[in-house]
Amino acid sequence: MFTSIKIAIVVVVLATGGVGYMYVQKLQSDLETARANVAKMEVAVQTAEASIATLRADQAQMAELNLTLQADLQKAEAYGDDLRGKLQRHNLTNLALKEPGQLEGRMNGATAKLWRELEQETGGNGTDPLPSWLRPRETGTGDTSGDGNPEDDGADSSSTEADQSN
Amino acid sequence: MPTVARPKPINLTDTRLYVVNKDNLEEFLAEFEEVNGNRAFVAFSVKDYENLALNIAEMRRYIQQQGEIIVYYEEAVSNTE
Repeated sequence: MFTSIKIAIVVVVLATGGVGYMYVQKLQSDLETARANVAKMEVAVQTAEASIATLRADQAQMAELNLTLQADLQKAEAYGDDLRGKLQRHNLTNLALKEPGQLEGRMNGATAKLWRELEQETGGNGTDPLPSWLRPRETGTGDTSGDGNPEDDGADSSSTEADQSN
Repeated sequence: MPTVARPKPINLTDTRLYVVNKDNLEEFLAEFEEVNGNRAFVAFSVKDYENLALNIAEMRRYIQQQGEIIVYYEEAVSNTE
């Protein structure tokens, strides 16, 4: 009887020890898995953070590019706006009646310069010599506008056709 | 991403304008015939000349803006590489 109790106690102790051992093994295994998962998640977080940083940098760069684009698009309106303003300020018909030679020189000068600027804007050099009717006369002093004003190089598209005020 | 080459630059030819009124008409006809060998020409009213100039300005604006947009995309593409 006493021996049976002893055996039972030993069996219970061994069984408890075995169960405890298995439980600890399971805990250790779970811990390893959890550590591996944490490591993977850390890598995933780092990757996500790097992606976010890249996206933010790209977004900032695109915003800057957009600002530059808007400014450049606005600049392209300048020539037309300037021309419209000059045409509104000056009465070309009146000028054609009163000073046809001067107006003709300015028109031809501005037109020649416009063609050259357009060539430059599309990647060309725009440095073709001026046509004969715009070249300085042999007795002249460098007036390429044909309006007889040596101070005025009328080959200036910004002082376009209508500009008589300069 | 590679970008394609730009088109060939435009090559423009000079054009000559004459401003003619009743006072210099005969002088114009004589000079024109001397230069061109005939009296055939295309005439614009002042208003139509203004419209032509505005039309060219509008096309110039479009070309410039198109170019700026191309530059924008080129830079955007090169930045994402």
